[in-house]
Amino acid sequence: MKKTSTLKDYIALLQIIKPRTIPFVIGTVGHGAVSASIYIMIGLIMKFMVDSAVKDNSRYLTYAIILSLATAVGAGILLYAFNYLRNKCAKHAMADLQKKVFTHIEHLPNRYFEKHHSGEVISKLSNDIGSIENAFTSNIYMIVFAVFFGMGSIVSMFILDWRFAVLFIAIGALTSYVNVFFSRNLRKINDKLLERLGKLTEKTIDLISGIVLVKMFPIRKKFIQQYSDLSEDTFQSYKDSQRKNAGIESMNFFINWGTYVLTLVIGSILFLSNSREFGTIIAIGQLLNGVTFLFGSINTFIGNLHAPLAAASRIKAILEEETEHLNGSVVVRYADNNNECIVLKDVSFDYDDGTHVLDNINMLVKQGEIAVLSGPSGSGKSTIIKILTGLVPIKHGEVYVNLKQFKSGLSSETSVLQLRNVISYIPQNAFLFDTTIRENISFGRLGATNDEIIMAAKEAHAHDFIMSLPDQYDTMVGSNGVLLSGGQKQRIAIARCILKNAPIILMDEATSSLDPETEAVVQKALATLIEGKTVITITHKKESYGAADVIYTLANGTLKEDRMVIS
Amino acid sequence: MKKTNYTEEGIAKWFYNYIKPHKIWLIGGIALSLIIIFVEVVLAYYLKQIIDLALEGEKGLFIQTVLYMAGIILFSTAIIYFNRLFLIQFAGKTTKDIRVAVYSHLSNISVKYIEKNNGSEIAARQNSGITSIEAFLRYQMPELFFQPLRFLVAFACMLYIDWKLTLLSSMLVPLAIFLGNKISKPYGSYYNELNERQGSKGRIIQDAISGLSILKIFNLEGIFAQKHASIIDQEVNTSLKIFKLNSLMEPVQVVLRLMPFVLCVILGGYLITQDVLTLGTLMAFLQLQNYIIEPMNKIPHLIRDVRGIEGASSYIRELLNETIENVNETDSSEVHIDSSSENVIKFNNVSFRYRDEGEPVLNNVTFDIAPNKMYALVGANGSGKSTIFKLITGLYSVSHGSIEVFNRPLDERNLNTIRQHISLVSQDSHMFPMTVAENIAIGLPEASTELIRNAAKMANAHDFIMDLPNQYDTIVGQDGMNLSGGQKQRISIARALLKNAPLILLDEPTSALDKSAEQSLQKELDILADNRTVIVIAHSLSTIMKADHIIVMNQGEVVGIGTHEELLDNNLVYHQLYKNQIASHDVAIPGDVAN
Repeated sequence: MKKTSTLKDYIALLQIIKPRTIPFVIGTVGHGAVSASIYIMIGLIMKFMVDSAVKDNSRYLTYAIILSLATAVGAGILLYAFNYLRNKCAKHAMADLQKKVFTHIEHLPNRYFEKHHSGEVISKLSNDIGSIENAFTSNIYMIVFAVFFGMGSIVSMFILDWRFAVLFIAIGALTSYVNVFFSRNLRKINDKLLERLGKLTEKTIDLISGIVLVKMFPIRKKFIQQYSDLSEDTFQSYKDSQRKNAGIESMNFFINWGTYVLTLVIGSILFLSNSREFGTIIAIGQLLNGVTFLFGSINTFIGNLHAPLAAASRIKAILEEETEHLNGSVVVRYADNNNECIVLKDVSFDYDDGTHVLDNINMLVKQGEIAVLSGPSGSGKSTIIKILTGLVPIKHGEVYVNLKQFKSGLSSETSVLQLRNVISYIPQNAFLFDTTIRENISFGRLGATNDEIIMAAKEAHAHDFIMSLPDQYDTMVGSNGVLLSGGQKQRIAIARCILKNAPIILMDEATSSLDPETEAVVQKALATLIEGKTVITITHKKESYGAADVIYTLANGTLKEDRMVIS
Repeated sequence: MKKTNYTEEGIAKWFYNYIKPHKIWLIGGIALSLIIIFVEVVLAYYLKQIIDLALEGEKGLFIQTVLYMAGIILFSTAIIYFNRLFLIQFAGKTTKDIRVAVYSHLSNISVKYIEKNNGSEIAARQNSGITSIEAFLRYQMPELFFQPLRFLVAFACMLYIDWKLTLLSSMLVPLAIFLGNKISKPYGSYYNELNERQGSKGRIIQDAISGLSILKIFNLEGIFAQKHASIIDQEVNTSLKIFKLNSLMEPVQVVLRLMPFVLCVILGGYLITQDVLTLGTLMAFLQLQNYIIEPMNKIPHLIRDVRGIEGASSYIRELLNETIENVNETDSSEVHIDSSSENVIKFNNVSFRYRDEGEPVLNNVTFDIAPNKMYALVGANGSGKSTIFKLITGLYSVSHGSIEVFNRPLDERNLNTIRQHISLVSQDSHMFPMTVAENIAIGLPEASTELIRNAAKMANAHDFIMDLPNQYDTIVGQDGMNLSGGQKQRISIARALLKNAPLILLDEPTSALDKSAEQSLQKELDILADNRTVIVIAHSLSTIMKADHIIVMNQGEVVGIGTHEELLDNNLVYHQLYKNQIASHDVAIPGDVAN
């Protein structure tokens, strides 16, 4: 984590409020100015009061009364308006930011999540957004308020007595120094605290997702111990951070009272030599609050900006993380006479760390054919699927998908979105979203009617069991469909694909986690799905080879073709 | 989760449980607060002295008073510092306890609860709940003692100085409390609402990330962005309601802050001109007034925050109230594995349903498992095979009937003891984000490198592990993202082997393995089964035929127990299963290596 905030971080933070800059600035400056002027008015009111007492002049008392009433009424209305305006702008800006980040995350390439714990991403989205929001709703305001309060007090002091003003600015500078002294390392400590809090969240997610293992293996004690140790470290960080604040708080108390008494002493000496008005001294004593507040807190307030600044640059880093290229490496061509549906020519693929996965692969699947892709685990079968679904780009070679007049008016394109429109994918473990069965199926084709959804479910042999569920099509499937069995999930996923009706179907061990009985039903569902379609299926079940037109065996990154004699 | 309505008393009791061990710090903090209040009054008195002495021109006494005051200021600076330190200790330690309590509670909570709730949502809500509790303990709770007391003391002193001035200037206090209470009333429900939105937001993000491939392949980016946006918009609406209240409270407070001051200035100024009051007394009076105005301003906020903590902490409280597994920790009896005993597991008329109103998954299931034999559980998906494992391991408890494990009823046993003697390989090969070695070592935390490697070799995992970039020290990503299904399955078999328990439960242990890996694993299992009890759920005929006994399940019922030959002759369900298997083997392609 960065230790100092750069200009770039400030720009990243400020860009977030951008379209609402003017109302936000009006709200913040207005709120700060009005709040500050209340405190300065109190100083002036005190001066008039003391003057009226010392000089026995009721004219000053009238001034004090009028000033008080005007301040109370004016400030009341303005504070409400400015405060609300400021917060509203901040909240809307944060809402826009969250939407933007979410959309961006959706478009990130899969490999981003292989490197980043989902807990980490979620905590970024909640903690960092919260921290940035805090900057706009509180931190920035406090700085503006401190500046108005401090500068207003200094100006008023200069008007009342320039010698006092000079003296107190000097004391203010000293205060500032003391604060810097106390808050040194505070950033580092706070960063550490945040980091540890993030770790705690990750540990909780790990516990929950591995709960069965925690129960079945002798690791609960170890896990609790680890968590407890981490909590203890977190407590130490918390203590370090809070102790600094305690130091600053108590020093500020000392400086506040110290300067107040000093004012009275110096003022009294001047008064005793009869050269000053006592009311001025009292007013300056009051205005002193503003000066000490500015010098004493500005450092902390600016320091508090560090967390949001770091958060803003982290969020910015996510937003700058390169999204998938929508212009993919698979060329989709539309032609009536091309019988070669899926063509891989000299395709090679390496991971970022240099591991070879595919080496000069050549593959051909004709229209309406069923191709089996086999090979030991880790040989790169799934990588071929990822290439064909546009999830990973290839570095060498060419990939074509040729379709028979699927779309008129176009001859060829490389859009990943279009590619995905013509491809359906059935993974080994069906993924269902945490919503109703109906919606899960409808994701196959947005806007599908209820009848179409039910029809798809019937074709996928899912309708009967869906109707036996308590809420039928409105049953919530739970997080990743935990409330359903593997076969049920797979059939809903197939219904989704049937609804999508794409001409190309890719399957990755679609039935390998099912028992033969269930597999039979799912196979029936799959048969409906793949009728008339071009299919690539990954499997190590020799049984499935029977229906194949062509079998590709992948080993050590190279392909061996075994075309069946059509009987 | 059931909504529990807590009384305020109930919440206080809940907090007290966690506060109790650390109350000494709270008491110390409050004791120092009392000194602070006392010192504040003394400072106000000296303020009066200084001003009056200055106006009277008493030089000697003036200097003496200034020196006293300087001493008191130094003293209270130290007191304030220690007061904060004590409260930090108090809040930090209590929060840590709550955090760890939630975590260990989660580790004991029923699998049912975890399956019903989303992990990230639990973590996110736990996080925000604990953050608000910490702030409450550190700031709001001590303030709840400090501010009212400070108010009372300052008020008493003001009454002593001039009761008429006091009453006149503070007549707005009741109004302030009334308004503060009124305005802050809806806060609790708003914060609850916000908290829930936070949860569903986490759920949708989690869904989008874990289903990213599917999301992309179905071009669902738009619809999910919309769903997410609508939650955000609702969140904005609720937040704006809160802001409206906040903004409304601020001017009310400003007026309340200024009015006593204004009234005081007018009346006090008049009294000074009448020589009833000295200027010093009035200044001291104004200083004391600060000590009643600050509480007046803060108390409505405090009321609001206390209401807020009700909502913010409710998730944590409900979570800790969620029933945990019946672990029966009082049972300290050891498990005796006696090869002469009749059976290891006994199911007596066991029925089970996942949901109270749902269909039964198991119906009157009765069978015995004899020691040191290998059993195969066969039947269609949904026939209840995996459920039987979940019941034996106590992950779920039976709805009717009883289960005996190691010769005693399961519900009398300490589940932790029972589980020590069972190795389970479930279908889901979960990986923790630790090294490969650590992932295997969870089977036996104290295992040596040698033992870990042996287990990996037995599970046919050693070779691929040695091919990984850092071999056994390779960090497995969250949920084993950098490993294939087969690799994860072999690691989870290795950890089960390392555990070396007398009862081994295998739920389709080879579903993600290729033929050769499956065969070598089969050999290891044969060796293991010599002196252990093994129950395996399988569809592979070669595995099933090796079993001493086969239990056939159909739609939640046991429809046959026997050897392969017996069942083939007289069990229709088994016969059908066998035919399906043979049928699918018939289409094997030419050149296929025979088993």
